[in-house]
Amino acid sequence: MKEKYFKISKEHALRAGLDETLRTEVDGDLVLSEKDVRNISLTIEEKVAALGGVEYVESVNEE
Amino acid sequence: MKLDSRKIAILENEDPINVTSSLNVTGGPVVQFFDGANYYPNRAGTPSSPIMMTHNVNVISASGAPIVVSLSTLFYENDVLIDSANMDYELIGNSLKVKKNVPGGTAINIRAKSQFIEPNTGKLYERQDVVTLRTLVKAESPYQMQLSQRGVVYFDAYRNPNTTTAVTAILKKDGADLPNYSGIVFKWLNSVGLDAVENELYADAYSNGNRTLTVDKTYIDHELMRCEAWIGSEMIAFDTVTFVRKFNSFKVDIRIPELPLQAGVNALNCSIEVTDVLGNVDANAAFLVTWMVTEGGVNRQLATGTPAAIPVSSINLKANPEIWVDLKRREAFAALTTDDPDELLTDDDDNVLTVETFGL
Repeated sequence: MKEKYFKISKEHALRAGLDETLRTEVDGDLVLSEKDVRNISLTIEEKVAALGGVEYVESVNEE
Repeated sequence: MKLDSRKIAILENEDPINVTSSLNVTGGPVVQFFDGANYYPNRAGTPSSPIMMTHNVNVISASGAPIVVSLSTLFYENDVLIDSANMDYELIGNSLKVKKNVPGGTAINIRAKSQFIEPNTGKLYERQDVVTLRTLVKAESPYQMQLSQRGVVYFDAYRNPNTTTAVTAILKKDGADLPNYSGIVFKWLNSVGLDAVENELYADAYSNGNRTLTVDKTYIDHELMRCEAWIGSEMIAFDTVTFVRKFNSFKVDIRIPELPLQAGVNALNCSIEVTDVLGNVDANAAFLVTWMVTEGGVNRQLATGTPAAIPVSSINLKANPEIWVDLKRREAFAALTTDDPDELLTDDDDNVLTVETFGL
């Protein structure tokens, strides 16, 4: 099974310590392998957005 | 007697420095895997995942202040100087980009040699660090089997339980379904390792190149079946499924509206309503319902099924009668045998004779 590659923005690639000196640049993005992508950390907001979730805020009844 | 004399030499007072260094690797691991065709990660070509090796040298004075030095760094692969003509590498200052895959099962040493002149003394210093890059030959990925129904599969004993179902074996490798199954033999075994179709009533037939077993749950209360995939004399994968007839706890509501009995009533209309966590249960389908009467301490069957109309004349009212219902849950059908449980009874066409079994 050959490696899969993905075009990822430089901003996100930098979170895995990867920049244009280390990875091929295409259309302003970097081409990263699956393992590279796994090393990119995501904020909780980004994870929730990727999962299609929304923040749950308990309604407060004001009298 | 005076022996050899030695002159006491006093060293000049040098400004001592503290030098530390390391060859840092970024962009990927130092170990690669090779599966016979591809490298993981792959460092060569485009796109690829090369690594960067940077020789970091830190110089600190005796007082603890960092000293800025200009490094002159050379890199060696197994003691052979790497020059700018070497397309497997890219020299970037005191860094080396590795754009080659190390052949499977081998290793190479990358040595970084950095020299610098300490500005206060003009003395030449040199630091060397080595990192080993290696490639492990990855064993062939194992096969994985997934039955379409696997683990423990419960089926409702009260609601149309006696149906057939197909169980299909799917083989995966590296997480992907196998494109073809030629050369692979599938075996379906019962809980004691015997061929399922030949030895079990529940195993109807194989199909789909023996990848699919049709299971008749009529004959199952609790049965484990195991599927094995073989290539030649080697079993490459297996999976199991256990079908379990599930009897939920239930509640019974007995209705005999004619009681207490009034003069002129000729029949008792007896019925029950059975409910479990899922709602109403078809009592006749799920249970053998038997209406009983106890007269003078003796039990006697009055009727079966629900509802049942029982003539009052059939009951000895002088014997202090009590009417009650006896429920037996319908379980799996079983093979009829002779006194020897291993000897099955068959009809003229060699079909095994079966009988419904009851529990509770």
